[in-house]
Amino acid sequence: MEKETALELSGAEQPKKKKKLKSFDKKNGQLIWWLMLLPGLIFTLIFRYGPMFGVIISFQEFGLGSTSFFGNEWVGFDNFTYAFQLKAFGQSIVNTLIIAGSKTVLGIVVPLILALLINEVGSKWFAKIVQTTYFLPFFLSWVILGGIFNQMFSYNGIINTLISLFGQEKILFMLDNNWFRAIIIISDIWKGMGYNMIIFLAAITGVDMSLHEAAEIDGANRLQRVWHITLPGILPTVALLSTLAISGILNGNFDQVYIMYNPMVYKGGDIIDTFIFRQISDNLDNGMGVSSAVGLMKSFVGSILVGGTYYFAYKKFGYRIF
Amino acid sequence: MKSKFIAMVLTAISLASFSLSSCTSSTPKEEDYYDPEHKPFGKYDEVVKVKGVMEFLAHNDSRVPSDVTPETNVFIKKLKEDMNIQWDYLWKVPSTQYENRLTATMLGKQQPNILKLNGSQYQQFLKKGLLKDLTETYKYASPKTKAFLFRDPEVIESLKTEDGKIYAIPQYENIDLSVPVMYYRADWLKKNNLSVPSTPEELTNVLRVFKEKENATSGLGLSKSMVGSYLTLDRYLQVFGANPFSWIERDGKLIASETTDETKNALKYYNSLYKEGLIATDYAATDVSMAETAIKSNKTGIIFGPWWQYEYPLADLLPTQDWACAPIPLNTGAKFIVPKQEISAYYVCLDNFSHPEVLMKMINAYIEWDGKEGCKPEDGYVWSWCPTQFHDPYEVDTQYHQFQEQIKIDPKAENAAPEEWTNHLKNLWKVYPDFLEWKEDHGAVKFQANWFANILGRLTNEGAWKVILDSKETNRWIYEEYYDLPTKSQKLFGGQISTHVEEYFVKAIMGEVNIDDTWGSYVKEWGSLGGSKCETEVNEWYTAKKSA
Repeated sequence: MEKETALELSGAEQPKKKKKLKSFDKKNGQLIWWLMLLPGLIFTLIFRYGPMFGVIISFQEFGLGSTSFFGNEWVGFDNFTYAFQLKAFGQSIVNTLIIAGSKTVLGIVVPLILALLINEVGSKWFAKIVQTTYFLPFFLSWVILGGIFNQMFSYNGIINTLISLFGQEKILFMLDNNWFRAIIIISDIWKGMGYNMIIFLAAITGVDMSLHEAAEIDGANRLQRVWHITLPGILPTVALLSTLAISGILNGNFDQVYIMYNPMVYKGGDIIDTFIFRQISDNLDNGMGVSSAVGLMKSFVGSILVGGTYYFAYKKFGYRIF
Repeated sequence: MKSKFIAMVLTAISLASFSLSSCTSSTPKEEDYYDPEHKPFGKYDEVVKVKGVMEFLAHNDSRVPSDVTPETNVFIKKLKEDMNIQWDYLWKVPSTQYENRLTATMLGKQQPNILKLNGSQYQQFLKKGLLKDLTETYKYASPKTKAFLFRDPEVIESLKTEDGKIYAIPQYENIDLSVPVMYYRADWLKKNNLSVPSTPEELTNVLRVFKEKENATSGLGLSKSMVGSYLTLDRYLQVFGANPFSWIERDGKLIASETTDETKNALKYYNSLYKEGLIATDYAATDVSMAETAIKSNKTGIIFGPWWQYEYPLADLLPTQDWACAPIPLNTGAKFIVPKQEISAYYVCLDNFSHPEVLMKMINAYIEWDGKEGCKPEDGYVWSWCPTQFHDPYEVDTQYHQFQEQIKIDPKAENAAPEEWTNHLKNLWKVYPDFLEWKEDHGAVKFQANWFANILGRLTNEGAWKVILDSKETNRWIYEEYYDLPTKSQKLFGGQISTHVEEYFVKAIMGEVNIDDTWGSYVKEWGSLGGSKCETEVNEWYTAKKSA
């Protein structure tokens, strides 16, 4: 039935095409769709699954000058052991969970609120301006933004100048572990919120307007409509983005932290990636092996969390993403 | 007796001809060859194809025609025309991607033939047996190359493996280049009637006045980096004879400088400066560019840095800020620590290459062609894109002495520069009269930032190089005694040791920890993090070295 509808839309050549397509109609009429999927599948296999073969270097002494994937010494779990026995590796995991966890949660909540608010703005041109303004920082690299934030929050930066204008003591933002974490989290949310906000806005436009009209007739106010219609309407999108974001729970954003941190905030701001980078840079012979092992560990945890979230969403709400 | 006399005459003749040829010839002649059987500039009968890779950095020389690429660089063209060497790049990437790309390339079939490596990269390639023996290749060195290579014969000697083979051609540096110099605001000093500080106490007093009278809130220019090219903590610690991550001899044994009492005293001293507000309050979060901003905005009065600080970042500031230089202040009895040997690059051939002599020939070519007729920027020559850049490790020193000799004869540089000088020095000589005029009256001539800074840094007797020579003469430094490649434990634990040291130093200076109370536990932890193992291995090397 669906296929017929699609063919009807194709216009004058319809009968001919229908005949041609019939030849594909071997297994429940789905062959053509599978063929259309093929390029994507091949691409995924080659560029996504193929490189996974490289994880074997996590179990080798692998570094610069290794000339094959098989000619290196197999070291079992030594690379993992090496990473875990390093002092402060545990602390870096804790920091990553706090920083990336907060980013994950706020990275959904803040754009969601913004999208709901912008959707309620009556003036379309104003909504567009706000939308674009929020989206712009997404395109800036951390090399630029890191420098700007470092300057802004420095002892003589604009924030401290404002603080002292109000007669308060200046704060060493970038040298205090708690402040540093907060700045890292908030600045990352600020940078990325425009992206998820656009996705949520797109989802909101898909919500059936007749529901809003019906609710309005029934006397529901704006807040009630947002709560009872818009939010449930975009819940699948929220669930999808949340599940995908969970996989990055061990990704604290290397670029951002590396540019903004300093030895005073290693305790609260050193994430797994920056920690490992410092250990393996320069000298370690099997630096690639160790970094690959840590990457594998992170992906493994991420996969479990994605699977867990998916299962939770299915069991609790009966919602299937895939 | 007679034979001895003849030998002496022959030696004198050969020495004279060598020095003459190395100074004057622009086109090498047959008799210039170091070894007549091995022609340093010999053209191959058939094309020899060489594959290389490139750590790409755009040049900023406006004289170079815009259509020049690394492939069309005149040096590459001349290699083909003059020597029948065809150089092809497998790839060109920015430095941040270089090592990853090289690792990936080594896994494939298309591997480079010639590479320029740093110390740890060289060590890894050597360990994996990927390098070609270059011992015979040294015979292809031109007289100039040979002169550069063997100005410090110990460097080549240190590269020899146990079986006496050499697997690299090292670009090493004159260790004097690593001597720290103090740069100070001479205008502020004069205005406040102060003298140049030569002890830590005097330094503190000067900084106090700078803060009080000149509002220098970042009096001592310092960034958050412990080590690096400039504005880093390591040079400041040298005031007390401390240089983190270097090994010095004490009672016949090597110890890590970051664990000595000198380091402890240095940290206490800088903590006292920090408390007084003579270092920026948030110095530990200040990157180099922020520290530079403080210099530009008159918030900094003193910096410790390498010999080239006049050239950067001070060059552009000289018209409005009067920066002078002097030896860094030293605590009573202290001497600063400089490396005994510094190899900045290792040129190597991979084992897959059947013409390793090409490497030496390309080095010969670079040394011979650089800046000469046909190899100037306007001809499409980009020196920084040449795959085998090689310079005289003692170039700055040579320039200083040549200039000083000439200035005695011609104090105002009225005559042309001697023919044997390098093009760079000749250019500086041409600009020198303008420099003198500018010194007299800043408004008299147009300020030529780069040239004037070069003259100040390298050539004059009030310049940075002279300061280094004076420091050497007055025996103000000791050598770091460990200069081999990293030991096994240094490789394994170096990262966490340096993290520990960095973290403690910053906290000590900012007063987050009490140095007297925590120094013992800091040193103990340094040992437990792998420092003790490093110390053992370094001392094993040292003992073997001494007994050899």
